Amino acid sequence: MIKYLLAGMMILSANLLYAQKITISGYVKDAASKEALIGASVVNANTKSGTSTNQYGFFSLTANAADTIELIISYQGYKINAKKIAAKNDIQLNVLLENNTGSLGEVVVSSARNNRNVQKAQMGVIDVPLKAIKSFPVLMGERDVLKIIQLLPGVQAGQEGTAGFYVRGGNLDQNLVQLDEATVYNPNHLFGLFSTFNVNSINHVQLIKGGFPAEYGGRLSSILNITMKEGNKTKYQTEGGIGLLSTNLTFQGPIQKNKSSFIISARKSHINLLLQPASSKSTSYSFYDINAKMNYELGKKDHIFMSFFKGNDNAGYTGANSLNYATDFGNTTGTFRWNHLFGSKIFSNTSFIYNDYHLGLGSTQNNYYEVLYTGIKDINAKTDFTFTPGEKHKIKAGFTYTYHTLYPSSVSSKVPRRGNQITINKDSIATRFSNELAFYLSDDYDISKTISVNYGIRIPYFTGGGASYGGIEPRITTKVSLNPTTSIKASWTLMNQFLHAVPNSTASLPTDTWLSSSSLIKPQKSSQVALGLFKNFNDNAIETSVEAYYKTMDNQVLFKEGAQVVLNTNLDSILTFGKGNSYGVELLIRKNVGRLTGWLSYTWSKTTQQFAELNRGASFPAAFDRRHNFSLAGSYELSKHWTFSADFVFYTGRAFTLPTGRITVPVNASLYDGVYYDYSSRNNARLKSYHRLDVSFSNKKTVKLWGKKYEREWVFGAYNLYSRLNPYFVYLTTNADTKQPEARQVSLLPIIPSVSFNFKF
Amino acid sequence: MNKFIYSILIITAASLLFLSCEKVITITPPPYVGKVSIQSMLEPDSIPIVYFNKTVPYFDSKINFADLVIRNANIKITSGTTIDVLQLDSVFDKVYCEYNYYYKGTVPIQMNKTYTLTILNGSDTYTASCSTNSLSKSTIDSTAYTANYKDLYGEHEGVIIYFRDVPAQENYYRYEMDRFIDTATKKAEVKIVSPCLGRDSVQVQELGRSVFNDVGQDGQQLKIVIEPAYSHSPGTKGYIRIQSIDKNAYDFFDQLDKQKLSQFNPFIEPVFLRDGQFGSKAIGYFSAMVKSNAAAFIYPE
Repeated sequence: MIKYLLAGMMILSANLLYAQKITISGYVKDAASKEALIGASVVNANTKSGTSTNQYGFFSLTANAADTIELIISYQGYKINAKKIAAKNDIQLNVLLENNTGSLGEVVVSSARNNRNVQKAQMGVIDVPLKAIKSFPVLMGERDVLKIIQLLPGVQAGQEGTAGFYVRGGNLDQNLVQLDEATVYNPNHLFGLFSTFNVNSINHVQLIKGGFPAEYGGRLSSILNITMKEGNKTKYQTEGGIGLLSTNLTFQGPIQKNKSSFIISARKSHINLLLQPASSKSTSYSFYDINAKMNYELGKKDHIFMSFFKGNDNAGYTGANSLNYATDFGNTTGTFRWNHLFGSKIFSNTSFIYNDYHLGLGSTQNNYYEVLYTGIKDINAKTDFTFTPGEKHKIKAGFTYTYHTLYPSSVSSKVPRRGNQITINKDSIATRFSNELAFYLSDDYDISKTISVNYGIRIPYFTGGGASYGGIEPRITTKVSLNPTTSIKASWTLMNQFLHAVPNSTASLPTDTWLSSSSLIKPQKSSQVALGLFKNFNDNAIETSVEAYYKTMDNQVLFKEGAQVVLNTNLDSILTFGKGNSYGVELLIRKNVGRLTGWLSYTWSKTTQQFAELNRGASFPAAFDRRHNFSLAGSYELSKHWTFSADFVFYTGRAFTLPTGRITVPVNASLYDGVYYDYSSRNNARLKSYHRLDVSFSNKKTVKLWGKKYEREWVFGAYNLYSRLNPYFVYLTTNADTKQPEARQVSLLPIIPSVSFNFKF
Repeated sequence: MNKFIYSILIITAASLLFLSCEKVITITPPPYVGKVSIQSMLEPDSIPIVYFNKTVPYFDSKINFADLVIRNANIKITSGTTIDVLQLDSVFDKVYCEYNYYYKGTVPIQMNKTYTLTILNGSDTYTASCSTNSLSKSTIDSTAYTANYKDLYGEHEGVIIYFRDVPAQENYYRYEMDRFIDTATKKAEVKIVSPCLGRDSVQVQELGRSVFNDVGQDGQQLKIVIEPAYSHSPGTKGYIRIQSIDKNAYDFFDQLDKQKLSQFNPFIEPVFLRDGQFGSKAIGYFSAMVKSNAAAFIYPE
C-alpha cells in the first residue's frame, strides 16, 4: 500500500512539471489591517477550480493561460472580491478583502459563496468562525475559543470545571493544541473554565478531528490549530475589555507601514478583588496571559514572524468536603518562523519552537492528599514545503524534530496528623529525555472534476526511555462530488503518539501526569476510518454534514487498580496498558450568513476500553464516553446595535465506577470497619445528564470620546440560565446517623450573570 | 449602569462561582446479582469458625450482621474420615454494638491435616480446601514503638515488630495484638467510643490491615510497622503475635487492604475483588494459620 502511494505520487509529480500553465499566486489580506486571511477561498470562475489560502494567507493557483481569468475570492465575514485579470504569464496577486460590517447590509454573490466544505478532499475539519467566538454567550464576561470548540460535533466537553475536550473517543492527551505551531499542553485558565487564548489576539481557529493531513502527527484524536494575529500593518489600534474576571488589553500597529507590524495582548485576572468580600482567605485565584507577535516582510519572497505566549494560573480553593486544592500551572511558548517563496509554486516555512509547560497541584480530598508535578519542555525545529505543480496537485512535504524533556512526579498519602505533608522538590525530579522525528509527504490531487483525493504518508521515529519506535502512517481522504453542493467523502488515517498523559479515573481534579514512551510504555496507535455526506443548501448559505467514524486505539495507558504513588515510585511500573475503540455518527447543520448564524450539532458515539488488568479483563465504557451530545448555538442580529446569542447543550452523564454490592468482612473491629465493595464492572454508572442554556445580549456602538471615534460594546449574559445543578462528581459516604450508605453529588456552577465592557479605537 | 447594581452583580457572580453545591442524591445502581461471603481461618487446637453472610446491593438498608447472616446453611468441615458439622452461633460484639453471627464446629483443628469446607445453601454448593501442613511459626525478636511513621497510609504512630522469617518456604504474615479496651478507648480511625463497652474492659483482637510476604527476604529478619486500631495511654499492655497464614488468606486480605485504601483515597483507582477459592459466586477464603509465641508490648505513650 505504502509503496504504491509513494510511487504514484512521484510519477504524478514528474508528469505535471511538463504541463503548460500559468501560476497565479499571492496573499489574501484584510483590507484595513493587512492581516492575513487564513482559509480564504480563491476560485477560478472559468474552470470552477480553486484553492484556499494557507496559514499565512498565501495561495498558489495554476490555470490555463487565457486572455481573461475571473477570480472569485471569498472569506467568511468579508465582502466577496471578484477580479478579472489578464493571465498570459505567471502573476503575483495580493487581494484585499473588506470586512462585511454586520450582515444586515450584506450583499452576497450567492453562486460565489464558499463551497469548499463540500468540494475539498478533506473531512473532519472545522474552521471556527471568529465571529462566532466573538458573539456567542460568554462565561463571566469572558469569550472563549474552547467553549465554542466544545459545541462542535464529535467534540465532547470535559467535566464542568475541568474543561478540556474529548474528540471521537480520544482522551484529553490525544488532542494537539497549537498556538502558532507551538504545543500548548494545558490550554486552560481558572480550573479550566475557559482557555488561555485571548480572543482579541486570535486570527484563525481550526479543528481537525479525522482525515488528518500528513503534516500533522503525534496525537491520535485531534489537532486544534490556533493562529495569532500578525498585527495591524496600517495603523495603531487599541482594544480591550473589562469583565467580571479579568481585564484585557491589546495593542497593535505597524512597525514599518505595510511591511512590518506587531501585536501585544495581555490579560490579567482581578478575581481576588471580587472574592475578598465573599470568601475565605484560603480561596484565591489569579491568572494572566500575554501574547506578543511581530512580523517583518524582508522582500517579496521572505517573511519572518516571531511570536511569544505566556500564561499562568495560581489558585487555592477551599470549598466542599472534596474540593480543596492549590495549583500553579502555566505554559510558555516562543516561535520563530521564516516563510520563503521559491518562485511562485513552492512555499516554504521553517520554524523553531520552544515551549515549557508545568503543572503543580496539591489536592486534599476525604482526608487524603495528592501532590503532583508534571512538566514538559520541548525544543522543536521543522520545515514544510508546499509545491503547487499544476492545477490538479498540491504537494506538501517536510520534516519535524522535537527534543522533549519531561519531569513527572507524584505523591499521594493520607493527611498526616502532625507535621507537614510530603512536598515535591521540582529540582530533584528525575527527568526523562526523548527525541521525536517525523517526515511526511502528501498530495492533494483533483483526479477529475468530481473526484479528488488527498493522500500521503508520515514516518515518525521516536527514541527515549531505553527504546526506539518507528512507524508508517498512511493517510488518505477521497471525495466524490455528486453535484456542486453535494459530495461523499471517506478517509483512513493511522496515527502514533509518543507522549501520554495518564488520567486518574477517580479524582475529580485534573491530575493527569505526562510521560513519554519508554521500553515499558509503548506508543499509542490509532486507526480511524470515516465516511461522510456533505451537502450545502440555499446557495451554500447552509452547510450540512453527516459523518460516521470508527476508530481503534492501541497501547492506551491507565493506572493499575489500587496503584498508589509515593515519592520514589517508578511511574512506569504502576501503569497498565490496553486498547480502546470508538464509533459514532456526527451531524452538523451550520448557517454562516444572514442575521441569524449558528449551528446545530448532534453526536451519537460509543467509546470503550479493554485492559487485561482492569475490570477483570472485560471491556468497559471509557470515563469520557457520552452516548448523546447535542448542542445548539446561534446568534441573531436584532438591530444595527443589538445582538442576541444563546447556546444550549445536552450531554449524557459521564461514566463512573459505582460499587454494586456491599460485603461485610468481620475482622474483629480492627483498624477499618469491615465493609467492602463488590464492583460488577468499571464505569458502570452514569452521572445525571448535563444540560445548560447560556444567553447574552450585546450592544455595540461607535461613539465619540474627546472628539475621537471609538467602538464600545456592552455584553450582558447569563451562564446556565435556569441554574441547573449539573453533576460535577459523585462520592460515596455513610450517613453518620442512619449508618446507611449514600451518594452525594457535588455541583459547581449555578446561574452566573455577567456583564462586560469592550472597547476598540 | 448603576454602580451599586453592578457591584452586587459582580460579587454575586463571583461568589456563585466559588461556592459549589453538594446534596444527597438517589442513584439507581445497575442490577446486582448477590453473592455470598465465606470467611474461615483455621487454627490448630482451636474450634473452626465460618462466617457465612450474604452480600447486598450497595444502597441496601440491611447493614447489621443479623440481616446479613445466612441462617439455614448446611456447613461441614471434613478431614479424612472426620466430619465436623458446624452450627450457627452468635456473640455480642461490644465494639460493633451488635450480635455477630458465625457457624461454629466442635472438633479442634490439628496440625498436618488437610481440611475441606463444604457449604450447602439451598441449591448452591461451595467448597474449598486448606491445609495445616506447610505452616510454620515465626519468631518475634523484638518490638518497639514510633510516634511518627510514614507509609502508604500517611504519617501515623506505629508498633514495630522485628521477627524472623521461616527459611526455605514461601511465607505470608499478619499482625495480631490482643489487649483490653475500656470506655475511654476510641477507634483510631473514627474517634468514636462504642456505647456498648460498659464499665468493664473488653478483650479485643487487633489485626493488621496489611499482610506481608517474605519475597526477597527468605530467612531474614523482617520489620513491620503497624498502626494501632485503638487509642491507648502510657502503660497500656498488649500481646503481639505474628500469624503465619496461607496464600489464599494473604491474597484475600491483600485485596481488602488495597481496596480499603482506594475507598478512602480518591487518588487511587478502585480495586475489584477477584474470584478466589470459591469461584465467582462467593467471596472469601478458607485458610489456615499458626501463630508465633506472644510478645508482651507496653505502649510508652
